[in-house]
Amino acid sequence: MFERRLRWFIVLMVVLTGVIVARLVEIQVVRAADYQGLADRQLTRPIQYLRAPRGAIRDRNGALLISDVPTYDVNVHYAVLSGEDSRYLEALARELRRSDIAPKDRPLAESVAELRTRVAGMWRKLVELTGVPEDSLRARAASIVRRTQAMRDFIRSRSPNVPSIREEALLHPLIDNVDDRTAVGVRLALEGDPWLRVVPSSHRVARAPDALMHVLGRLGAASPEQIEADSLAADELRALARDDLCGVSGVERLAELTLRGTRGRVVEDFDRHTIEHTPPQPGRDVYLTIDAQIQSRVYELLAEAVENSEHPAGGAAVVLDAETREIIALVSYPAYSQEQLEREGDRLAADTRRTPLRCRAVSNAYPPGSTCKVITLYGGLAEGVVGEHARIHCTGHFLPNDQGKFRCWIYNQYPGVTHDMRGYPDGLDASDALRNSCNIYFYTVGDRLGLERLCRWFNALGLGRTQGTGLIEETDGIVPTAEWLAAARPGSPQPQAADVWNYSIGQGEVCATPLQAANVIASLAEGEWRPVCLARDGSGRRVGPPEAPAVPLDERHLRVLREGLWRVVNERGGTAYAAKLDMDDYELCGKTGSAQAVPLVLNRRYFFEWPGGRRETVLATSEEEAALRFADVSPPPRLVGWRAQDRFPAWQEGDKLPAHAWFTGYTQPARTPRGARPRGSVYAISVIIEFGGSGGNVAGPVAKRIAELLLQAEPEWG
Amino acid sequence: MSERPVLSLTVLGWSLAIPVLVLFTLGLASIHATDRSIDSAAFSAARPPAAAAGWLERAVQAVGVNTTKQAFYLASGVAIMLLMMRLDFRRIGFYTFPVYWLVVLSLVALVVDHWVDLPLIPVRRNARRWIELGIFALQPSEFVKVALILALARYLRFRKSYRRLPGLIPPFLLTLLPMVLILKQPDLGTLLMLLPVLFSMIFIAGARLWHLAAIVVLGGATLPLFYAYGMQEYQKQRVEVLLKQNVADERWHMGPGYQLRQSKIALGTGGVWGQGYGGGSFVQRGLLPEEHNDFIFAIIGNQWGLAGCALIILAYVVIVVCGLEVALVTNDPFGRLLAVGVVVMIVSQALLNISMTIGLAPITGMTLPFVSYGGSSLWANFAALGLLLSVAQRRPMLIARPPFEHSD
Repeated sequence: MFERRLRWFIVLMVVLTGVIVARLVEIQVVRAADYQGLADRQLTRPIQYLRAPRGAIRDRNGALLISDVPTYDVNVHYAVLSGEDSRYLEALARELRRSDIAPKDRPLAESVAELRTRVAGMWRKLVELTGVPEDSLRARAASIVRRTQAMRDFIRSRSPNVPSIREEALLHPLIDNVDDRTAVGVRLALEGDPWLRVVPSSHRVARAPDALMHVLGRLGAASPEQIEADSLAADELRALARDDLCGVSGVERLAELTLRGTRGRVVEDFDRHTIEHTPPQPGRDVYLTIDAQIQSRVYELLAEAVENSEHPAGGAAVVLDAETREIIALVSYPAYSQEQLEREGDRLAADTRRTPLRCRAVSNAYPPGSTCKVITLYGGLAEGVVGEHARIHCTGHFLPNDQGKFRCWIYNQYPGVTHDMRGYPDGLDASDALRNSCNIYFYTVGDRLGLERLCRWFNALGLGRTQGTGLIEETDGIVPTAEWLAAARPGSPQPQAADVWNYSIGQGEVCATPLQAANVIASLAEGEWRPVCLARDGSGRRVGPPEAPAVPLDERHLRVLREGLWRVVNERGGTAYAAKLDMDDYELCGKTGSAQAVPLVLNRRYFFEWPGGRRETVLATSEEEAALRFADVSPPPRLVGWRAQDRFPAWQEGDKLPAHAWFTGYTQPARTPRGARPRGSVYAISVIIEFGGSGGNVAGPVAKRIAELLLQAEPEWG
Repeated sequence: MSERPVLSLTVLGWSLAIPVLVLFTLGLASIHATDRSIDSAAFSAARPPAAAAGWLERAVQAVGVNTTKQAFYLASGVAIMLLMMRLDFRRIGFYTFPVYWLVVLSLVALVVDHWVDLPLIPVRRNARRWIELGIFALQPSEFVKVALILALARYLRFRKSYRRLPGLIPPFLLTLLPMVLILKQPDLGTLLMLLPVLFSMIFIAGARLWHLAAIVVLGGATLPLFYAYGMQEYQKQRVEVLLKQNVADERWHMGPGYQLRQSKIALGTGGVWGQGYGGGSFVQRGLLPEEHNDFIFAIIGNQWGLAGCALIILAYVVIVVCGLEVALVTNDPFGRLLAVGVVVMIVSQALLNISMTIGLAPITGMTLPFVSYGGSSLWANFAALGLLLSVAQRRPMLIARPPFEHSD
């Protein structure tokens, strides 16, 4: 029996040994690679990424506009930043002992005490070496601690079991933008302090004139939405990460993918031996088509014109190379400097009258006024509703029985006078109508075209759609089609007969940006509408959205238009004769516009009603700002309405509306035959002076000086 | 009856010596390889420079504190083994119960320390397991195993003691008493170790199967109760660790599951042939806690891979085979029970330790016999081995049928 029992016992042993051996084979052979991977992860420090410098933005001649300048950051461990909090210091002391930096065979309290002394020394030395006062260092540390705690609290509010977050054991930049000498000094003096590191960093420095700030745009911390929408999200080294800076506006945003560099990556094991070291690769440079010098000069001209106008608000000017549709200048006035933005950004943002942060040239759409009569005319000719030689009488007012409405500008200015009386007894043909900007002619053409066909031609020439710069700021403007009216004009959603008359002279809802206006005129000069180009990369490839297809125009009709546009500027009596160039080799053709403008509402009086029925008024520039007033009241009062409080220009009901002064035109060599397509030095120019008054007298001369500037400066950059 | 020479290495045969030699050599080598005291001595500014210390201190610094201690334990362990071997197992029967009660008394002292602070009993890791005796500390629970084997063998040597159910009560009480005392320490691993010793001894001795079955079923039925009321939170968590070892939650593996997964990583990175003496960087970084102690098997697996693990297992297999051969051959009932008890004690410790290292059993404080670091464990195992050898060296002339060869 003993032997039998022994046999049972042996069987049990064999089975258990078999199970153990099988399990060992599973761990050491079958899944060995898995465990190796887990071990590798524990044997390497978390991957460190090295920030890559962002590419520079240069102008068309390669002049540096904005670029990253290498500097250093002094990064300090969170435990040290958190000051006297011994919990973090203990954790740091433990980490240092674990990495064999601090001796292990002493009580932890002793290590912490030593750490405390050395940290105190570090603050003193930092102040000495960098010259930054201790107060501001402490303040910066406190702000990092506050931010980290807020982040931790937020994470805990979502998952309460998280004991600590990554940021509580990391180094944070305490001092940024440190120059080489200081960096070396700090490095030498504090080499023995493993909780401090001097790391290469960079600072973006704008060298561009203020005139370019709108176009260059700004950097900002990447928002979660941007990180999610990032097209390089799959690329570990190029994807946006939290705390990264990325372009939030202007070309910085437009060319983000070109400008953004490729991070470097460092993998170290726990003895700080490098396993992998990939250096960062700087982003590629981006070349604007803009000429920085021209841009600055145009800005100065524009500034002068705006400040000398009756109601100085702002203005914009755009110069296109009509042949290539490169933007030579994209100017908005007023602008701001980088320093101003950093110092008084809030004040700039709050200025509702001058809106210095807005890039007017692409993001403000104004009624185009008479400048869009060229589109009405081209549409009329193309649709065959008017012949180029057909004459239309200027009767002063369009409605035979109502002299008060839809009048010609000349009838307005000199009551009772019509163009028929001023040398056109048989009426005006197409070229005459342009030269004199006769409203009656264009009311007639517009009326014959009808809303749908007029809008189609507005659209064909680029109104109501972006011009292809790719700037986030670029707005579509408005082409008031029947659908648009139904959606956006609740007061009278049906198109009225008068609408198309208004639109045909560029009044009413139709709106165009200065860039659109410039491209319209460039299209007429060159014979087709094409998208514009703002930026190229180093190899000359266009940076921006896919190009919209070109819209070819009929040369037959264009001849009439070009002749009219030439006469506007170059014939005594043309509406822009003031803009005639004082040059022998070149001439300017163009169209003026004085677009009736609704005054700006600078702030509003908002009416709120409390639940009891008591009313309260709040003066604010926007509904959001007004609502802020009651942010801490619950329930807040109900907003029941608002009324404009201050307007610019000051304007009372019944006053004549102020006008925006427009000029759009193009330059051409003087030898160009009348009506022919110009060759060489064709620059399309659009100028708008907000509330400037007469286009011919205010905007025209600015365009003239811009043209002269371009044509004289040409050899330098052509 | 003819006596063989009392101290004959030939009789015990190299067959038992070699596996034990292999085990403690691999163990000592691994303890030396993971001895952190060598490193920190070199880097520590707090210690006096090596030149100022005596030769002994310098030697200790060079070899490592743990290694030196373990070498001392091994030497003294072998001495204890030789001493036990010299004792004639047929003459120690009278002393078995006094020895048992002596050990139990020391356990009682550890329990009493909960209420009355006794000298020489420190609280380490929240447990009272040790009695401090100068340079080393004794762990009475290790010696309980040997004492229990002796007491059970003494009691079960008569057939009437185990063929009837009431006769099975004393061995159970003998086992339960130290178990309850150890539970108070607490030391779950050692506590559970006593059960297989008891069961295998009464099973091999020839207790009626249905008695045993009834006891097993009864014991099995109390397990959930034990889990619910007898086990502390951290002990329950260890069962959870065993069941959740394949979850994907990294937080679990960095928390409660850390020890087990680190152990499996150490084994897994060893592969088939291992990373070589000293182990791979995973081991060198000290990423495996308890590396020289309860988890030394993982270190061996890391250094010498599956081959090294197989060698360890083979060594135990040889010990089992030789031990059982001793039990088979002897005609003294006490000697036979003694041999079986010793074999079961060694092999069940080894099985449990290896199983917990590879994630087949919950992690309990259980050393790998002859391999792990620790004085008490080594001494107790060498003492037990000495008893086995004592039986082995006094082989009977086979005239009669060996005992227990009756049929049920």
